[in-house]
Amino acid sequence: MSKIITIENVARIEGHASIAIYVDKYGKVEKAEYIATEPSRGFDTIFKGKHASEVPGLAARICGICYAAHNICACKALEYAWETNIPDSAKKIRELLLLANTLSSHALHTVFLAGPGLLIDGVNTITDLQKKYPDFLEAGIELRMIGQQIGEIIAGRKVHTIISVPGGVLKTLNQEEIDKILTLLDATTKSMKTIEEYTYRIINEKKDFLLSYGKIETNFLAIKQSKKLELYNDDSMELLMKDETKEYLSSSEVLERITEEEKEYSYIRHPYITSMGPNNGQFRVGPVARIQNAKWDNNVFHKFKETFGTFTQSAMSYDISRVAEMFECIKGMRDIIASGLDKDIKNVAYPKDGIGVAIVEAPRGALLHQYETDNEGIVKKARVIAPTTFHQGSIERSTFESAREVLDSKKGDCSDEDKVKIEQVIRAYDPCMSCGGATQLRIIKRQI
Amino acid sequence: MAVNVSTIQLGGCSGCHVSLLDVGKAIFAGGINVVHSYLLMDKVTDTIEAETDLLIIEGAILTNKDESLLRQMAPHVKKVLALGSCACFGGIACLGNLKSPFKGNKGNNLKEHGHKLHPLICSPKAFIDIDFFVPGCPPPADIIRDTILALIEGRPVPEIAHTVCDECVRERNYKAPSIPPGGKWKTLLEEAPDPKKCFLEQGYLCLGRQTIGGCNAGCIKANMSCEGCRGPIFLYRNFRKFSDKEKGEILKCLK
Repeated sequence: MSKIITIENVARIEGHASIAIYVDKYGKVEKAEYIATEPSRGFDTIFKGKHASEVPGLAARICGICYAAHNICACKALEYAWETNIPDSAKKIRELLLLANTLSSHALHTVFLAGPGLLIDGVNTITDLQKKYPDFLEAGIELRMIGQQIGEIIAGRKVHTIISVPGGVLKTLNQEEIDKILTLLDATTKSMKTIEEYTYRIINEKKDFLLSYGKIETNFLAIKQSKKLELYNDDSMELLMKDETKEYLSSSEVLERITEEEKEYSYIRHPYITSMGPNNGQFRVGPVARIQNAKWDNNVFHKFKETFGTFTQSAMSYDISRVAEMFECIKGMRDIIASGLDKDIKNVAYPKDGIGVAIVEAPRGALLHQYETDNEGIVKKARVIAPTTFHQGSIERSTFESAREVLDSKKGDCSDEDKVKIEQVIRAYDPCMSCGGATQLRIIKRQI
Repeated sequence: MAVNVSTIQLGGCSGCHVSLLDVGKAIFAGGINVVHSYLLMDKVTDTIEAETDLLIIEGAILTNKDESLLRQMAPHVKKVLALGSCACFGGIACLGNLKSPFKGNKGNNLKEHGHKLHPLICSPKAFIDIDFFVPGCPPPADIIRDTILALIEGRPVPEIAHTVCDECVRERNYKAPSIPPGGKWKTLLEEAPDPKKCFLEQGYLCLGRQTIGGCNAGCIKANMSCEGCRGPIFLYRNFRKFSDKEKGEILKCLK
């Protein structure tokens, strides 16, 4: 008799999701479904009919973890639609916000969400981590706080930093604020050292697990990386195929290339590259997609390349690549500040008829916003595709692989430890279900 | 005495949980025992098994599941704290009520589909008695800390009875217009506002006059006019459950 094993409410991810694992009568896993149980809050419908000046502030509310990316991506898409340029310093401040946001998001994920599972086997809570590895938790709290505080210095508040508006930003940094940020950046050294040591420890102890667990083959999509972490310039998006061939696209070309497939059991659609079909055309975004062709220079990055090779399809490598990015975030913020900021931060944006598509690298990967406005600046059409939306298919396949590994020998039983182990691969993708469900409302036809 | 705390997230963005983490060490250092939280522990069931002294709710009622979850939890919790504007008023999620795909959504097959969109997106106060309200999008960490510490120590929760305007340090002549000059407020698409002068007097719409303070006018210091995320001041002293009449109207919508 076949059987369905469900894991309700995947823990330690942002938002709500469940898993259904279909097991046949011999105890073999046949199929896994990753179910987004959080319905859309209908953001693209909410935007419709609103004045464009309200949109970036509302867009930030799509997500409480990657607010800066949503806010900035909305501004950028509107600027593309209206052919508005922004001053150099405004661009730098936006990049600073993105980097600070990425630092705190990665610290949150590495220490609070993924870390406990990698360091402690079995079911655990944050209290266990506090007892066993207090320095790791401490470092995580510290780094998160620093990321949030930098955001607060720039934008006046810790969460939902919404000083970007179409045409630029509203505030520049004075010397006193720059000094404060530099002091905070210097204070990261000790905590980053701790995180780095734990990362090496995880790599040494669990190398095989990291390399093979939940591994799948997909394409990758990210903003083209250089010697630094590029989060803002979407002039050339790098589409890296399975066979390591590359293609460079603009953000609107990316949107033309993808189809979103509706699944009857999930609130979130599954996007894929149209020409390659739903199975072959899946692609992943995020830190691993960014790291593939990066030429960064930090110890964890080199260790990553040494462990996983120049091109990796490993799913668990996401957890390690985030640490490498944290180093780049800190370096990137220092570089931007060193390059100097001036007072010219805002151009006037004149609304006009047009469509704009923009991509920004959110902490979890490429985030796409599209807006169509009329002459007055009223939004006629809006579309948001979040990194977690891009990841749906990949998460599902990775879950299937890990479920096979964990459950195939168990004859259809699934203990709490097994469930936690299967969840681990989902967590590697750091899904953010409230982002993923930001798109248009749809009704799910089937419920397990 | 350790206080058992549970946190749940309904239809929201996790921002309030992030702000809760911003409280930092104060929340982990003794006194608090987290017994139920999606974000902080493995293996959480739908139900709260342990007795909870304080339930922290983030987000608005978005699905039928949210409603049933709250109804199930209610007997197990002693005090309830609504964290953030979505939990206090309905917030961003409630904007969906105004728009067509949500309007008149009768929620077919409610019984079969636990995760179906709720017919009326609303604050959890429609279904559970809420003892404390901390509005904000998200509420600043200092206010969350002060409130939770006050609850643990059994002190009265600090009250904020002033507006964002009272905290704002911009120059003003207290003659800000209620109706914008020329009949239309300036938007932030135009030139950046003068960072020293009152937004309203410059002709930009700013909700600071009506909005509950306590945020130290952070946005305004960053030259961003107040968007009223902490809600209107006249509600502050009147945070309350829905009246029977209001409940009746909600029930009418549910039918």
